[in-house]
This record gives sequence, C-alpha cells and structure tokens, in this order.
Amino acid sequence: MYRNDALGGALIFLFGALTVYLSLKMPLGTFRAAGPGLFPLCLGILLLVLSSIFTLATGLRLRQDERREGKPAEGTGSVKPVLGFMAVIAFAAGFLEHLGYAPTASIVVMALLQILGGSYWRRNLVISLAAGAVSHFLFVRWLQIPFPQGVLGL
Amino acid sequence: MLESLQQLAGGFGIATTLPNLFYCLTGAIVGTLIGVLPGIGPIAGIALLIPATFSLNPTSAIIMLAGIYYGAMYGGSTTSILLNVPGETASVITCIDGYRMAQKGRAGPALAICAIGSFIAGSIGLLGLVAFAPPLARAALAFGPAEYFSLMVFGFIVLSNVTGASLLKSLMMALIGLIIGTIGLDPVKGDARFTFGSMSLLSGIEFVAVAIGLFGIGEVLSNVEKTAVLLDGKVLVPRLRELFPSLEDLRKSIKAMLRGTLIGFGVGLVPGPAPVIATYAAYMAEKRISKHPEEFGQGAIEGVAGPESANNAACQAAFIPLFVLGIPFAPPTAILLGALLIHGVTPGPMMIKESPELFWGVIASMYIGNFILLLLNLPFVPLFANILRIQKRILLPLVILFCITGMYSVNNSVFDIWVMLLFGGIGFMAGKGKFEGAPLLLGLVLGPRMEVAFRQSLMISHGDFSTFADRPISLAFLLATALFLIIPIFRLGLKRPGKGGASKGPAPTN
Repeated sequence: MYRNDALGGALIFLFGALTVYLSLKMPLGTFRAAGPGLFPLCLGILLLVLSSIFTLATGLRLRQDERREGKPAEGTGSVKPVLGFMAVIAFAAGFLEHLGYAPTASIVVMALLQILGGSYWRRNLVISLAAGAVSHFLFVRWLQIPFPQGVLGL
Repeated sequence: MLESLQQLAGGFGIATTLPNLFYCLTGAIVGTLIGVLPGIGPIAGIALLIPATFSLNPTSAIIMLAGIYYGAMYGGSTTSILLNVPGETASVITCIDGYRMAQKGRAGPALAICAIGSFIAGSIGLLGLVAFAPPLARAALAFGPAEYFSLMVFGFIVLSNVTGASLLKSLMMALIGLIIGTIGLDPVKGDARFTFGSMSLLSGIEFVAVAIGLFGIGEVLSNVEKTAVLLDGKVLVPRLRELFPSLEDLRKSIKAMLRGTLIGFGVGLVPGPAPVIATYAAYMAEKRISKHPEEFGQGAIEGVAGPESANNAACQAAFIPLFVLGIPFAPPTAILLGALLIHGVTPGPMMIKESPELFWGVIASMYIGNFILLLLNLPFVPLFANILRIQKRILLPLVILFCITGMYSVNNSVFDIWVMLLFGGIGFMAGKGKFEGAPLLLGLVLGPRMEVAFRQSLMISHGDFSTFADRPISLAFLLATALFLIIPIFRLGLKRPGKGGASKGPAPTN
C-alpha cells in the first residue's frame, strides 16, 4: 500500500514539475493582468508542494514498515489480462478507421472474450459476431452515428 | 413559494408531454440497467449517453440524463440487496442489511422498501427544491467572481475531505484535474496552452473521455484483474409475490424514510459525494435511534429504508447547486453540467428566469421518474436480477465495446478513444493506490470556470488578493474552507503516535 502511495506521489511530483516547467515557458503577466501561464503555474507549484509532503511522509512510513515487517505484500490478481484489455482498446483506436466499425467491434469483443475465457472460443466467436452485427445495426443504421466504414465498407 | 408552485405546475405540463415522458422513462430504465450492471456506474453511464441526446432539445436531453442518474442509483441498490455487490458507492451501506434480508428470504420487502423510500424521498425532495432553489438563485445574484472562486475552493476542500482515503491524495487529484482543465485555449486571452502543436488538444481534453476512462474503463480493468472466481457470483432472485412488504415492515420503515430524506436533502446541498455521505449518516442515525441497534447488520429493514431514502433525497438536492449556482458539487452533476453546456445552456442564478421550461420541466420530470421507477421496477426486479446472471466474462467485453462506441460518437474522433484509454489506465492505477478519480473529474470540469473567476477577481481588484477576504460571502466560504482544512490536521494531532497519518480508513468501493 505505502509502496503504491510512494510511487503515486513521485509520479504526481513529476507531473507537477512538468506543469511548472511548461507554464514558465508561457507569458505569465502579472496578477492584475494574468498571462496564460500564471494559473497553471500556481496550480503546478501547489501540486509540487503537496506531492513533496505526501511522498516524503509515505517514504518514511514505507521505511518504518519494511523495517518492522520485511518486504510488503504485493497485491493479488493478474496484470496480464489488464494489459491485454488495454492493448485491445489501443487496437480499436488504431484500426477503427481502417477496418470500419462492425469488424473492429467483432474483433475487439472476440479478443476480450478470449483474454477472459480462451477455452470457449466457439461461444466467443458467436458472441463477437453477434455483438458486431447488433452494434452495427443499432449505432450505424438506427442511430446513424457516422462511424468510419473502413476497407470493407462496413 | 406560490409563484414557484405555479411554475412547477407548468413544469409538470412540460414533463408530461409524450416525448418528455418517453425520455424520462428511457432514462429511468437505462439508468436502472446501468446501476444493475457491474463495471459501469452513473458517471460513465451519463457520459456515454450524452451523444444520444445531441438531437434532442436541452429539456428532453437533461430529463433523460437526470433519469439515468437517479435510475442508476436505484439499480445500484438492487445489486446490493441481491448480490451483496454495490452497483454504486452510495449503495455500499444498503449491502449491510439489504443482503442479510435477502439471505433470510426477504429480498422482496427490501427491494420494495428501497423503491417506496426513494419515491417518498423524491416527493419530499421536490418540495425542498421548490422551496430552496428560487430564493437561493436570488441570493446567488449577489455573487461576483471572487465569491464564485471562493465557493469553488470550498467545494474542492470539502470534496477532498470526505472522498477517498486521505485529504492529501484527494487534493492532489483535484489539482491534477484543474491542471488538465487548463489544456487548450486560454479562456481569457485565447492563447494555446499545453497543446504541443496538436489540433486535437486545442479544444481541451474531452471531459467525457476522462469520465468514461476513469469510471468506465478503469472499473472494468479493476474487475478484469480479479481472479476468475470473482468474475461470477450467486444471485438471489425473489419471486413477484414475495416483493410486497408487510404492514409491520412499512410501519418500521416510514420514520426511517422521513429521517433519511431530511438527512439526505441537507447533505445534498453541500459539496462532496452527497449520496455516499447521506447514506452513511442516515444508517448511523437509524442505528443510534433504534431501540434494537443489535438488529442492524442482521437484516434490519430500517437499515435499508433510511439510507435509500437519504440517497435519493441527496441526488435531488444536488441539482440545486448545479442549477442555481452553476457549480456541480459531485461528479454525476459535473457530467450533467457538461451536458448542459454542450446543449448551450449555462446554469446559474439566471437559469430559472432565462430557461424556466428546462428548470421546472426537469424538476417535475424527476418526480415523474421516481413514480415510474416505483411502478416499473418492482414488477421487473426478477428481470433485472436475471441480468445479473450474465457472466462478467461476457459482460465486461461488451461494456468495453460500448465505451469505445460511445466515446467515438461524442466527437467522431479516434483521438478521444486514446484519451479514454489513457485515463482508463490512470483510473486503474489510481484505484490501486486509493487515489479517487472524483476530485480529478470535478477539477477538470470546474477548472476553466475557476480560472476565469480567479483572473476576473484579480483584474477587478487590480491584482489585490484581499478582494477575496473583503467581500463577506467570499470571506465566509474561505473561513469555512480553512475550518475544513484545520479539522483533519487537528484530528491527526489527537491521534496517538504510530496509529497512522492522514489516512481515514478504507473508503467504500464498488
């Protein structure tokens, strides 16, 4: 828990530092006539201060914890399916315009179903084809949302 | 008050037109489904369905989206009672006694009391809205940029104080949201900020993408990470004839419903995740008042009636700051603010005068929506419960497909899907570290308004910061903010050394 916190705090610190750096590159103006960089600069500085306090406090607690109990227990569950899901969404974003909506929808559902239950591939195929067809008729034909048609024109 | 009642009657006239009744019914049913289905909550649900309202007039659109909001709250209770899985965070408390009742074969009365309690709370909440909204709108006319800025600061501090595991974490998330809100064109001078030359970023980060990412994709990813055993669950489905509560149940519940309504309405008016706090406060109040506190946790019907009424009343009261001040105090109303802006309506003190048909129409539709939920949901409980039988391993991929589809249809932009994916990853990681997404979303939605208020205040005062303290209303908000900041530090000081830091214990999670 503290390890996650410390990591989160450090990342937020970096985000704050990046905000401050980029804000300083913009005109700041004065408080009377603030430039575009002033408000994000104030927010960035505030974030730096808070994340410093948080990271330091968490780091100290983490050290005390490790001394007392050895290495902290890591969370249960597998990250693999999570990464798989994210990769499939990235695939959809990358290929939606090339493949068209209905094929992308079917591929996305099939891939995600396979990630969660690979042994039922026949059932998964039926569900994914049905999902592609139903969503095509619902969103493209009925609601007339202008989805890309892709190479197959679907 | 009389004038308000007359306008409310006009609102009923608008809400009972056939198209609006249809959108209210659709919103309530879709909302219930969203609440019932795991992996998608009211925030992501409303965000996803905003594109479906593009062709509607603003009144019909908000009627439907508001229906999704309270419908989801109702649906969340169904899963709490039948499956011991809270559909929404506000339904966590309902799990305690609701699921115990279901285990004892009393799921029907528990569900019925939820519906009746929600309806009673909705009816009383309507009167509260009529009584409070117009005078508050008149008072809000005295608000200048300084007051609005201080009010938003107050809102963030209160929200951060009551959300998640620690004040610091929530404050940091709110700041990140505010910073992300500055991406795009400077609202005062029009300069591009943090766009890195990208045209897609010029209009800023799409808040719908952030909402669906944090609360839709993030939630699905958290579910996916769980082991296969957790992906399935046992559902206790009541039969239709088992749904009716006994007279004894009603007698026990009625006072709890009234108390819950009052607590919920009061809590809904202040910043923060009102339904969550309201349900918790109502439960604790019932337990404290009860002559048999030992029954709580063992299936006490008051433990369902009080929190559920409080939940609905808080949802309704949360519309007052949204409509009257133009400031949402909770993420679902922040999404509704986004929807209002998309439809060209700027909520605020003038909304009652400038868009009375929208204001009173939506308020009247909420009453009708609650009535629809009462009539429809009880007979359909077995159907909703059967939806829960769909395996999560089938449901989650379909939710992802729905998220991708909904996200693309907002702006017909693949870029938004990437943003959604990014925030989905952030939401998943944030959830592991118990960093709440709600303050981030609120920061993103309120950021541009807050910046404009901040800069306008300083422009008017020639750069003098004392303007925030010189104006009495602004000063009151700042003092209240300071109080909310000092209380946790004071509490921290009272804790024994070695007993922990800023952590406030585990927060209810889905």
